Amino acid sequence: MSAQLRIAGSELRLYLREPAAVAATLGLPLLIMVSFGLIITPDGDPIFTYFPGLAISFSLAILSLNLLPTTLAGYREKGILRRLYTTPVHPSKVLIGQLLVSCAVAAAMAVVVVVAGAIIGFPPPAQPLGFVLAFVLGALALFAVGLLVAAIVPTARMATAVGMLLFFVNMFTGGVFTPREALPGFLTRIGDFMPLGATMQAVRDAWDGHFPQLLHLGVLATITVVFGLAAARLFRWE
Amino acid sequence: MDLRRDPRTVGWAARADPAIHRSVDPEVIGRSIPWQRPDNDAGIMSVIEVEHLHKRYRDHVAVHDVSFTVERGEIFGVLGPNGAGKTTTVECVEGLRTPDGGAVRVLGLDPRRDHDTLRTRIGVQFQESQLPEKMRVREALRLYSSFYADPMDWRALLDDWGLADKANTPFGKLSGGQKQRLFIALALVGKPEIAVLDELTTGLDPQARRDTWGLVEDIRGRGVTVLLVTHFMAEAERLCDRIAVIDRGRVVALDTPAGLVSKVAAEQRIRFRPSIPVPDGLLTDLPEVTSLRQVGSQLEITGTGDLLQAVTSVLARHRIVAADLRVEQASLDDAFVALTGGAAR
Repeated sequence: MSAQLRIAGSELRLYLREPAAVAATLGLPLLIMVSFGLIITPDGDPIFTYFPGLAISFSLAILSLNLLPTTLAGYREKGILRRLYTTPVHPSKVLIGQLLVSCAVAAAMAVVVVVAGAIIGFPPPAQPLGFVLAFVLGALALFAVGLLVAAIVPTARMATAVGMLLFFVNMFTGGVFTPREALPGFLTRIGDFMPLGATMQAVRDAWDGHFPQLLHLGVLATITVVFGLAAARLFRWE
Repeated sequence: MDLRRDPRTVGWAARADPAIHRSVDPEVIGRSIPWQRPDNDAGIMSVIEVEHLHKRYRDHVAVHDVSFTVERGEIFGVLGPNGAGKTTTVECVEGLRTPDGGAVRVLGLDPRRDHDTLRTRIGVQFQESQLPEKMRVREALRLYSSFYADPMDWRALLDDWGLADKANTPFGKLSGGQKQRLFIALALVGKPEIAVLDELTTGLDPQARRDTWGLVEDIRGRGVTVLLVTHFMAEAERLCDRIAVIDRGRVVALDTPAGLVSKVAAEQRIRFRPSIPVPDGLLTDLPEVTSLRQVGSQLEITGTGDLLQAVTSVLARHRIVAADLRVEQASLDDAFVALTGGAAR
């Protein structure tokens, strides 16, 4: 087994040992789908796509804006990345390992949301290809933002603070706390250009049977490239 | 009366091995030894060569001018007060920093340019190192051993470093001494030729510190060269074959612990209670003795050179027993304070 896979496996084990992290990223989406599925009876109204959208967006936001930057900034603060630099394995493998784990958790969460939704009575995403595209691009864009936070803040505490600020701004403008339908127009316009807002809207569109808007896919692709490159340039191992 | 009971005496005696015991002029070292080429690797005696190392950060100079060489199989100490430039110096040796001036060769290689080769051959323990809280001892050792082509058996390391019963304990639940042992094990898992240990025992209680010292001697026993960074005098005195004392970015002395002490304070003092009165002139006639004083029932003799040997042999010839014999020598602490102008902790 390669060192990269071993490190990713180790990171996965560490993630699974954090009950709060597992609860927030896998448990809560499941709870959202089951509880709302029991309360309401989804019919064809697009408003019902809000609930799977909420479950997915919330989990992705926790993974990317909270767990990823706090963990990586903590590793740097504790000298773990620096220590690795003196072994034959480059510390970038820990960063990639964290990304692989985040991607795996995100994928598992998507399966949980779709399957639990189907069991409880939510129709599956009506535009599957569009859904996969929206989900993958959304996850990558959010991970790129989280990586940039990890790259520029010096400590785990500050990573948590900055991550939480971004989390609430994104949740608020992105139509995640409150459905987009109930938000004033200027807020939804801002949300269109935020990583979480674009993800939320693209996922809801695909779930409802439309191919996601090019605006949202374009925003997500741009954020992925720009924030990803910036993070790669600015990341410090110590 | 048994001199071997005096821990200090044991320490000095252990270093009397002429192969290790040598005095090196800091001005000469580093310049007089030609750079070894990597191709005659096996024949290299000096495994670390630091010549006129200079390193500055934005607003201050961390290392002015540091030169020393470390020979294979040695425990070499880098000793100095906090902020003297010790860690920066070893970070240049580890390839973590690029020197602004001077040259560093490790195993005949350039630590920066040949970093990829070198990091398979050196093991490093950092000051204030940590692991993820929930990573278990067994997992850490297994993971780090997978980084190397030919690692040590990590299960054997668990046993060797007294961690077998902690194999499933998360890092966050280990005591300071256990963490330190784990980091030593991690530094050794790649079968390094050189182990760099930075502030190994800072924050440990006295017993854990003594235990750790024993472990460092074990490392050397395995043929690994040890570069030890410390600001503890007792640690350097106990462990090191040679010490470079660094102060304000410069090497202020480079010698064996005994050599450092003798440079600063050549004088020693012996106290004992003679079984019968010592005749006048018996001891004061010895060339080694500089003064003699009666303190109550005890005699206090100060002198230089091999004072103890001279005094005890005279006493033995005259069948005088020296009870409660105590030898007081200048310690490395005294030497350190003298060398660094009192800046020591």
